[in-house]
Amino acid sequence: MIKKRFLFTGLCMFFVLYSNAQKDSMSIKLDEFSLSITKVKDFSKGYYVNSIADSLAVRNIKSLTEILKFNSFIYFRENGLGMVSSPSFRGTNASQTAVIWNGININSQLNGQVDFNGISANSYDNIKVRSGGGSVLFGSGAIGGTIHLNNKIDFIEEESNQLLANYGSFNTSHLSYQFKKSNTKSSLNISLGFNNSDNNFDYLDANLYNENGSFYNVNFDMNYGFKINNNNNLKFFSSTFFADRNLSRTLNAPSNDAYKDFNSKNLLEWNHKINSKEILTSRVAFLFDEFTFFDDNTNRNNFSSGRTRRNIMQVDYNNSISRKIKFNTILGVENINASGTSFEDNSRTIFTGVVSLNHQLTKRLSYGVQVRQELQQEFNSPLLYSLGIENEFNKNYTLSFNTSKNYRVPTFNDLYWNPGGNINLKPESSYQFEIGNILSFKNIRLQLNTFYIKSEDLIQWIPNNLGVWSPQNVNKTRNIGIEFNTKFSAIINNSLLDVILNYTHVDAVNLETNQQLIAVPRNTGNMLINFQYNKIELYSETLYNDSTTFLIDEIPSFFVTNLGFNYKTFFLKNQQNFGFRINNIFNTNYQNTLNRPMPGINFLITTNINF
Amino acid sequence: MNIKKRVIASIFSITLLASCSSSEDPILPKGDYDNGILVTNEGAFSGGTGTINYISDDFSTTETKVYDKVNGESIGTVLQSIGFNDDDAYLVVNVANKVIIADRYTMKKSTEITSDLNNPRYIAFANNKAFVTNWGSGFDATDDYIAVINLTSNIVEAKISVIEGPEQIIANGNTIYVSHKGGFGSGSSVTAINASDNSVIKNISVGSIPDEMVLDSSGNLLVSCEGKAQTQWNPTEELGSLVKINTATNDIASTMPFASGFHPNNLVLSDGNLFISTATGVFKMSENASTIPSTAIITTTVGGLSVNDNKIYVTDVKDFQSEGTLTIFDANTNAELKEFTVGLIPRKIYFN
Repeated sequence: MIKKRFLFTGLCMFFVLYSNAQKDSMSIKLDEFSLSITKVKDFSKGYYVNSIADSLAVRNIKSLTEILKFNSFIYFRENGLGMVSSPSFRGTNASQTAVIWNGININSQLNGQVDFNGISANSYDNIKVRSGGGSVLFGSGAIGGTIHLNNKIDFIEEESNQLLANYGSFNTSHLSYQFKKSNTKSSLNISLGFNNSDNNFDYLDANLYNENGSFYNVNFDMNYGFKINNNNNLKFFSSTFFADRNLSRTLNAPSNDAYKDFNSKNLLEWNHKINSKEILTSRVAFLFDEFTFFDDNTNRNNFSSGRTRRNIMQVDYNNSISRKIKFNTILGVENINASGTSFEDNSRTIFTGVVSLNHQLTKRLSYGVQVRQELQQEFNSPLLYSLGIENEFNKNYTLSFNTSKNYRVPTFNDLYWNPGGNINLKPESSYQFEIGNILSFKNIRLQLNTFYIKSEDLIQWIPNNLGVWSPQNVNKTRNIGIEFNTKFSAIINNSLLDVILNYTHVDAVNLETNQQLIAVPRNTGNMLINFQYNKIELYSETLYNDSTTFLIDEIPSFFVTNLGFNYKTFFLKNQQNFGFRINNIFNTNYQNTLNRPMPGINFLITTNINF
Repeated sequence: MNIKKRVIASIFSITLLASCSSSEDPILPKGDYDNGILVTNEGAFSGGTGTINYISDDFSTTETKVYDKVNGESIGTVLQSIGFNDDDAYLVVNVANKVIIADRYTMKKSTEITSDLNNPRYIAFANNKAFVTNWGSGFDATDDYIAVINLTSNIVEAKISVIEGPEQIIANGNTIYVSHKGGFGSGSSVTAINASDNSVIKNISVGSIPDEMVLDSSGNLLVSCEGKAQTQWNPTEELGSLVKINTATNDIASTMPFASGFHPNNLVLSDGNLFISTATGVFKMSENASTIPSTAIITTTVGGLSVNDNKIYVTDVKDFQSEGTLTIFDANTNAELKEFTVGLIPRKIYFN
């Protein structure tokens, strides 16, 4: 019955393709099935997806901001170390960048963004960065690109304990423990983490220091999988995070502000294998987010706060009709409730329907088509679509193309903030297309993406005629740019050399004023050089940000370089490693946001013990 | 080559300095920023700094960021207002929680007060002391106060606790009047304070959201009350009003309500005329008039307003993201004389 209904949903494309697809059948394995990873991998034809390498350089540094800003196209606006850190792509802003946790969009329902220092940095097995619009698959805000934070639940015989202890400058410490035990029947993964820092670094070239920058945070995660039988799996993902931080002063004003985050994400997933081709996944998720802001951290009786509760239900039907054709449809309903100091209790309910198809047309040519429609009372959601095509001309060269329509719904702050909220807002909409080229040879892989994004009805808070800041659908923007990525890898006399380079150039213009968008650098880039010989690994990471206008001021361009060393050894029958890292080795005075300096040269020792 | 140049340059500058100090001309201005207009720009709230623009009276000289140039440092986040006492300018820096004392004509900083200020707004002088309104913490309605600064030691010697949101402050002899705009809440009173013993004389109920105050020629205190416009988050409009307080008795002498939709943001008294602005225009009336005009003399976007020497000065804060303007009008003809681009969020205009 359910099956029938799903088949009906995807009617048109489905049956046309079904007939010539039946011949070459395949059988999917439920054990290896991961819905959230599949989504990014199988339904992103024509899109560039970058898996963040699980190298030691990355693994021991438990900061999502650090990992991504040195290893991807993502540009971060950081209000100083440990402070609000928001990612963006391709000259868009942080609320046009969606962050997806195990397939669930976790952007704040209050401000539309994800603060990478306000969620756990410690909890994911698999990080993927997908450039380009993804609202069809990943919902509101997936305009510039999406960041995927996934946990894997495997049904294999394994038992491991990992202890990671880091200590560095400014009394910065990290301690985490991860326990994994799994067999062919069940899988349990528990992790606990703790970060703490005085963060009292000197502001270079100024007679000031970060006197109000200390922070600590704790995370607890549990991921559990249970195989009921060959055709049914249950998976439970849970992540809880708490952070308490003081908010740093700027060069122009002291601060005694403080901020607390608490979030809890819980997802129960049931994978049901209907037959050798079809999997039906039912998901129930509950997400809770709360912030508390103190404008005087010596008197914590006074604060403002906000919280959201989200209940999500989804049914996701996957059909690997053949090796060549994959079909997916999702029906979902989400209820969001938000409350806080600055607005009344409000809730919204969103119904979602998504139909996706991936088709390997010939040996070389493949494409993917996706459509999404949402229904909600507050606004008319546009029909969203995405089309991606890839042609592998030969084993060295692949050309891809994609186009999509994406959107972002107004947040609860936008609609209901008192004073200023505007219930008459429309969703932001965005069209884009992109051409990608991949050249790959034995030791080197080159990728060049050219993109065009045009966004309309952008929500911007501007003062109204009463002098009150209020959001309006005012702006139109146009971003044109290129992304270049190269990975070079070579083995020379038992040593391994890896070089990864990412570079983005973007011309982002406000079409109303014909001016470059504020806080968008034209050029950003990073480079990782990793050299491994026997048990020793040496690496350097360099980040370049072009100068950036911020209102009437300019944030100067900068290069910042980190240098690291890791030593691997075996004892307790397992691999252990010890590392040393010098951040900002050239003691560069730099800032990501205006007048909020980042630290000069500083050090970190890492210890990774497996038993 | 380089050294030689530097030597020549230094000799040259010594000669210049010598010639400067030897001249004794009594007509000389008191500093580079005498005989002109000072415009204060709030600057960006997040990490930004306030700045001051100088425009000479004859409009021939303009200079940006004058304080920064003279002192080699920025003012700090959100320059709220300046108060003047003799030759000293007191820069009230809201988010940076400080008051900078600088020479009003040279802009040379002498000192700054950073202790015991919390969200400072405006300053007034009486009894050889300065009185600074402080909102305190945004979430605490009971920690608002007037900081009393000893002008000899430049330290806050007392705090006068007042009700929420003390905004503008004005001295009438030995009495200080404070309008309670409400800070993060919304207020509706004026407090009279005795400047000799720092005691509260009276809290006077006025209209909704009292802000700017002037003393008329009969010694009455005029208070413009903004009221509250009708919006999504405030469904019922509260009318603005112009309230006259008898300063002898500290009682209300009269209240003139403004029309619906008229919500004043500035009040200036000049040569017996009151100039009242809303966000969209400037209105003019005699200080003794009993009705409020319904037509604007100048229709323009108004951020800050000042009137001096028969000229009307209006700032436009634009979109709060780019540089604003100062426009000068002839007060007789209301015709525009000149427009200058100034800094980010220009709010206040002062005359040297």
